[in-house]
Amino acid sequence: MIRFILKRLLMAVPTVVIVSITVFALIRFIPGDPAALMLGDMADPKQIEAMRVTLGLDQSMLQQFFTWVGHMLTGDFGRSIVTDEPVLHLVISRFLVSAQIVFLAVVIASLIAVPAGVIAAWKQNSITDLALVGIATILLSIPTFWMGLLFLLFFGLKLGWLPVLGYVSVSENLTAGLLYLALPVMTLFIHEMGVIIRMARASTLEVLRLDYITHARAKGLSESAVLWKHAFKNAFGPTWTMIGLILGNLLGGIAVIETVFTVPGLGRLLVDGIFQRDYPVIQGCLLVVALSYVLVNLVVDLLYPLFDPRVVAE
Amino acid sequence: MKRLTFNGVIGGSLVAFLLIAAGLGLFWTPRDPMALNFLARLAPPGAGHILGTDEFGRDVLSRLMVGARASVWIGFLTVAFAAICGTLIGLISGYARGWVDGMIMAINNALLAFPGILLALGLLAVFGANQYGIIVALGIAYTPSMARVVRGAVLSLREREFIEASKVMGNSQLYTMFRHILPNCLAPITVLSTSMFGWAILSESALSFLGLGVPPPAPTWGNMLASGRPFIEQAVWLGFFPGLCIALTLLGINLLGDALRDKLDPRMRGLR
Repeated sequence: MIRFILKRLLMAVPTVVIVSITVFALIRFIPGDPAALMLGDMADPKQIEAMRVTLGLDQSMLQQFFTWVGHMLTGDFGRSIVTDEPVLHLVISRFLVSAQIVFLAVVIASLIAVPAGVIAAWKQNSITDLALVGIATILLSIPTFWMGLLFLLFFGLKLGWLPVLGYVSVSENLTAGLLYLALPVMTLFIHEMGVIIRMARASTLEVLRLDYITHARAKGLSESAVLWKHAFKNAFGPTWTMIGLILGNLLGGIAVIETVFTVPGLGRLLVDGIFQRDYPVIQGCLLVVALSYVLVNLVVDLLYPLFDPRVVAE
Repeated sequence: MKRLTFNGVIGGSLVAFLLIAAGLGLFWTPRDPMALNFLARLAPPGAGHILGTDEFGRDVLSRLMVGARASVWIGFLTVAFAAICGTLIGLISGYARGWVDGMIMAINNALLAFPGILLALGLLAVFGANQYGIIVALGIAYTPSMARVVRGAVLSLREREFIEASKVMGNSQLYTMFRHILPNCLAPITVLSTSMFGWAILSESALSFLGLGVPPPAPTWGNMLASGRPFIEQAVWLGFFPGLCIALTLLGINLLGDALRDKLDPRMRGLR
């Protein structure tokens, strides 16, 4: 068990290193001199040169990289070029907003979609199965920003049940906060249900074909015991991994949902950063999302043996 | 067997419809998609404009057809980019093995550690937000998945007898690689390319919706939704039809992808 954990932790190290190199390199590839950009059009060459020294741009790439890593490790993500706020503070506060939406959506989607997928597999090729797979395929084909827009139109503008613009944090006002969260969470979980139903169905089908299921049935176990006690345990593994991937992917793609519902989250921060060429902010967002994606997948993998102890032995 | 055909037929027709609309949009649209007409601002769907007009009085149907062309073209080039680069990387990595494989796969896996759309957003900051920026950004973001699938296929193929035979016969490594290994990888490449075409169209419309895609006034489904958004209360059709186009296209590609997967490669079932 300990060997499994250590091995998985060690595997994450090169990923983290290459992720940071990629983020560092991406920002350096952006055309234009960051020092000149930060000072604006009116700066004279001397000022720009001084700024380059302050930013460490006169050093070699390797030196710059290690200085940068050092800063990141001590929590110094720099300051936003536009608002002069410290990037770390900005990124963390926005991250929390996005994370609560994504987390709620994935939990709700999994609670509904995993059993639905298992039932679809159990009733393979029945009307129930065809209907569930059909619905799942339709759900996953509807882009979240369109679904969001339609919900906004229907629940917000036509019925007037839910707020349309703005955002109130749950910590400020619980009920109002939840009302603002309702539409983004609903949009995301309905969309992701499609993906999870199909995954849960596929992995359950795979398991239901195995000999030990036939054996369990031959022992005279009830169908529900076969399904939930025997099949489900082994079928859940791949779905669990998929749920982890979805969690990370949603964090990366949350910008569209935040745009539809005017939620001040991390995705919106990143997109605004790209519009305003605010490099420290872009860099901070990319790094935080990519590292949390690595972290989520690490946690998912470390918890995997709880569902399927076989991976530890391998 | 029955459902397989059903998926294939529905998916195939939806995709064919998209391609026809996009192809037709190259030569002919009911009206000029760029012509402003302030007298017909926000006109509801009806006789003059089948799907209504937008906030500048432009014909929505014509703009949707031109948008289809943009989506298909960007999707196609993105998939071509990712398929060619990914296949080459996967072939080399799987065939060479050893430290070359180790190096390539370490970088590949780290790139896979970025959610695709996030990597694309980062790359768009580098290449700039325009049609070609999107193609390169999404192409690079999708290359690692293709490389991984091709490498997996190559690894299992290179131990087979006919590859051994090709080597014994004195064929060069390159000849063996392209003449014998590559054709046998085409099934997974096709299946993944179909899904990627859908991802690319979805990502392109999402990026255009964010304002990071093809800049207006050129119409894409994504930027039509974004620019119609302030008016959706008076003009529901502006928020409805572009999204419906994206959804039907994705549905078609997903169904077609399922049918292809069942037919070509039963092992790939369950891959997103």
